[in-house]
This record gives sequence, structure tokens and C-alpha cells, in this order.
Amino acid sequence: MSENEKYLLGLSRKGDVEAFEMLMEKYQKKVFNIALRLLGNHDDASEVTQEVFVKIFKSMDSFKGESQISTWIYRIATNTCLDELRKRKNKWVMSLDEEYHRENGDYIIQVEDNKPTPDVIVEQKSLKNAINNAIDKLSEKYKLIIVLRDLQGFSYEEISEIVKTPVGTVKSRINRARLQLKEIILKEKELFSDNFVKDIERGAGDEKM
Amino acid sequence: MKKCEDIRELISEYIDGDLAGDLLSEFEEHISSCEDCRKELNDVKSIIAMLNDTPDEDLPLNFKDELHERLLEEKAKKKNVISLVFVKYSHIFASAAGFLIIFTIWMVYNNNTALKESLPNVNSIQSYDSKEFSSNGSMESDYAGNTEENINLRTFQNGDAAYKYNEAIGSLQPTQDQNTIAAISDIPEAAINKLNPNAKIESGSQEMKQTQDKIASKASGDINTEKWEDKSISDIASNIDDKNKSISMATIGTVSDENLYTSADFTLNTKDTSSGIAHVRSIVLSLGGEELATLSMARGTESSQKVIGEIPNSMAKEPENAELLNFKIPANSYDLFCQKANETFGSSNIIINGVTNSDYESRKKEIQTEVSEIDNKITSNADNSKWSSSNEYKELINKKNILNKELDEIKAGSQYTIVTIKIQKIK
Repeated sequence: MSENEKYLLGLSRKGDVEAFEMLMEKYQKKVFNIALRLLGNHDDASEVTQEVFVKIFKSMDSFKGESQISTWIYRIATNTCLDELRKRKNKWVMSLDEEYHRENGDYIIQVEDNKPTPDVIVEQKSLKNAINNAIDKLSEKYKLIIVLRDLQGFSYEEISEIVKTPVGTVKSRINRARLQLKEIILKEKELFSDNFVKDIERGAGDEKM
Repeated sequence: MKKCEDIRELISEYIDGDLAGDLLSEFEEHISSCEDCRKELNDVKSIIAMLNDTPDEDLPLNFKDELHERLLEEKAKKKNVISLVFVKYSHIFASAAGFLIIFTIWMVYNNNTALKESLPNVNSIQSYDSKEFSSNGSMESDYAGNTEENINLRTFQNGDAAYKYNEAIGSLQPTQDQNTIAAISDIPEAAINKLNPNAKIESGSQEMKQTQDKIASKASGDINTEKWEDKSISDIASNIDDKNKSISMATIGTVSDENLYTSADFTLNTKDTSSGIAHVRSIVLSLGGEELATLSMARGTESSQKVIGEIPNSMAKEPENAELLNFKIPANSYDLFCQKANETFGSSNIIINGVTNSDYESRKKEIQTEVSEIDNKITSNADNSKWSSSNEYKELINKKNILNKELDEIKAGSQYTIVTIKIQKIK
């Protein structure tokens, strides 16, 4: 942490809003993007990100500096997002994605060999939708780890700190999450075959199908 | 030879470049010979590549402003909690302070009992010392006699006197006694010097009940009390830290709480931040304004948007190093300020983000109505001979005074405009 950050941290602890904002400036975008990928839409992501920083502002006193401030911020961010996801789960019990949810983390590999790889099927401009769709279908635990590792580029060690889980567990979880994600994308392709690309292009792929 | 299932466990680590040694060679060997696993690896690889290629999205446009509002609200809540805690527990603080004083006196008195036993010794020192003066003859008896009388008199009086006795004898045992006092607690000097701090603190807290979050503005009245309170609840009230800061915070707190001031919020885009700051300062000074400490300022939620100049493209991305200046300028110079700022910086570089008007006029009307109601009540009861000594009468007078005081305050406030300028460096 630079001297300037330490200084801002001191002021923030005393309730200085401007100093706090300066200190948080460089984390805001990342937190927003984590929230966006986890929650799947801009409004919720924006709202939760606000909530995250208000939370951090309120609990500045409890940051003791035993971990990096970034880790602490991302931990609060991911926990707040997961809370939001759980709240939603209670609200909408119906889910079309149950078949993909395996909370115990078990994964059964079923590979369909003769089909072209997903990146060939999905056009570049529809990529975003396809990915968001597939990520949305992952279980909470896997969703989080994919977002942190493959979308935000955190290292295994950083993720281990953020989610407070041993590195070994993080590694195997990342592997399962990736395989599951691939499986979802393949399955999607299989279900909608030729129409898949067209649907996505028309924006219908945006919604859960 | 590992099974496909085992190999697939390693796919992720392989892609992340985390495999090494035997495991790596075994993996590569298997992949080159097993088509299924090779396919699996390539699929995962391409998906990760897709994910990595997904660009981050920008924050929503109004994100920072909204967050700013919420943080200010949070800060205001925090401040209220602190003053409420203080008001609620002020009697405990006060009695705790009182207890400490009594405890100090008791400790000192106990010490003196010990001292008293060594009094002969003390006397002998005195006598011995006096003997040094004995060349002056008569002085000796006078001096020794006086000392002894004083000490004896003070020793056998009550606790309060024992305290004074301690002061008198303090010169003989300075280190011991003073250390005792210091060790008992961090009693502020004010409490020790003024033998009756209770009354003082109590009256302080009562006033605080009325003004709640104006704790610090009282600082000019009794700085010691405030310091004492600060010490006692330093954990919660960490934002009230030194006298100057508290005072400026209180001023600003008033801005948000009672909306005394009209406030205007600007952004200045400049290539040279320090000269920008210097120019702003000189404009403000030339208009008879003054600078306030850089602390958070209130931005009204219903601020009306008025753009003096066009927003340049560079505004879209907020530069990282921005300085914040706060000024208080006479309200009638505000237009002149805008004009001068426009002339100096160019209308495209100084942007007004919002103006929050004080609700002085509406509050003034409210107060005037209330005061006239009180006046009516007072005069309508004038025939009653007991009226002027009744509690109701006193309460009404009291209320009227408070209202008039508030009217004075907001009237004074309405003569100024608070100007906040964010100075941003542009390329």
C-alpha cells in the first residue's frame, strides 16, 4: 500500500467521504464487473456495487490490515453478491437450470465428440450473450470462481484469500467449474442446434430458454 | 497410466500453466494419444479464451454521484448516532468524571495519611532547612512555626482540604503525588483544575440535547469539555479529532443538516492543477470569501442542473487525481464569482454540477408564524396575575428565544454561498 493510500485510509476511517472515494476509485470498476457477471444485469449490479461500497465505508474501522485492502474489498463484494443471489433464490423458486446445479460439486463428464467446438458455432458478436447465459446457469459456487478466475483474472492464491478457501480446493473447483461451463455451452448448442445462432442474433438468446 | 477421468482433473491446471514435472509429461503423453481428452482440453481452452476476451464494462454513468449521496447519508447517520450516544450516556460520563475526581482526592488523601506518619520527618527537614536560615535568628522560629501550623491544620480537615493540603505539600513530594494523579486515569486538566467539573459537563450535555449534532460548534464556548468528551468516546467519535477539524466539520454539518447555505458545486478542468487552485483562491479572496477545510460537503439531492459551459469529452472519464476546495463566499458575490471563473478559465473548463438553494425563506416564514402564535398566547393570558410566573409562560419565552436564535443563524447563513470546486487535471 502506497503512502498516499495509507493517508487516504486514515482519513476514510475518520469518515472523510472524499478520501474514501479516492481510495476506492480503482476498485469500483472491478467490483461492478464482478457483480455484473454474478447477478447478470446492470441495474442489480449497480445497486449491489453501491451497497458494497457503503458497507465498506461503514466498516472501515474493522479493516485491520492483516490482508490486502483489495482482498478485503473483493471479499465483501463477493459475499454481498452471493447474499443477493440467495435472496433471489428465495424469491423465485422456479428454475429451469436445476439440472445443472450440483451443490456438492460432483460432475459427470459426458462428452459429445462429433460436434464442432463452441467457439466455431457462436459468432463473435453474440459471444457476450452466450457467455452470460451459460455463466448464469452455473451453480453459485462455480459461477463465483469462473468470474474471479477467467473473467477477472485473479490468481489461485488471490481467489483463495477472497473466498477464504484453501488453494487446493480452489484449483479443483476451478477445474470443475470450467468443465461444467463447457458442458452447458455444448448442451445449449445441442438443444437449439441450428437455431441457436439465429436465436442469439435476434436477442432471444438473451433470456433464459 | 492414468485414466481419462484423472487426466481431466488436471485440464485446468495445465491450461493455467500450473503442471510441472512427471505430472506434466504424463498429461501431455495422454493427451497426444487420447482423442477424447484432447477434444475436452481444446473445448475448455476455447471457452477460457472467450471468457478472457470478455471486456470489462464501464461503471454506470451516474454511479459515482449516487454513491457519493449514499456515503454522505451514511456519514450523517453515523454522526447522529454519536451525538445520540453521547446525549444518552452523558450523565454516565459526567458521573464517571465526578467519581474519578472523588477517587483522586481519596487516593491523594490516603497518600497523605502515609505522609502524615512521616510528618515528624518532614518537620525535621523543615527545621533542618530552617537552621540554614538561622543566621537570621528570629526568622527561624517564625518559619518553622508557620509551616507546622499549616500542615497540621490542613491534615485534619476534610477531603477537599486534603486536596489543597496536597497542593501545599506537593513541593516536598512532587514526583510521588503527581504520578499518582497521572496514574489514576487520564483525567483532563480541566477536570483537575476546576474542582467542580460535573456542573460544567452536565450543562454542556444539556445544551447538546438541544443542538444534537452541533457538538463541535460549542467548542468555542468550552473547548475543554469537548476535548474531554472526545477522549472518553474516542472510539466512536473518531471523526471528531482535533479542535480545528471539529469546528470546520460542524460548520459543514450545519450546511447539510439545516440547509442554511446555498451551495454550489463546480468542477474545474485544468492542465495545471496548482495554478488552477491558485487562481480559484485569488478569485474567492478578491470577492471577500474564505476557504473552508477540505472535508465532505453536502450536495443537495434535488440540486438543479445548470451548465455554464459545455461538458468537454475529457469529463466522461474521471481523472484520478482531483483536488477539492471549499469556499464560503458572500451570497451577493456569487454571480460575480461565476463570471470571473468563466473569464479566467474559459466557460468550457469550469462546469457547475449543481446548486442547492437554502430554504431560508420558507423556514423564516415558519419561524415567524410560530413566534406570532407564541406572542398571541402570551398576550391572551396577560390578565392572569400568576401567568408571568407559570411554567408554561417560561417555556413559551424559552421557545421563542430558541426560535429567534435560529432565525438569526439562518439569516447569517443565507448571506453566504458555499462553493465546492473539484479541480481535475486534464491532458
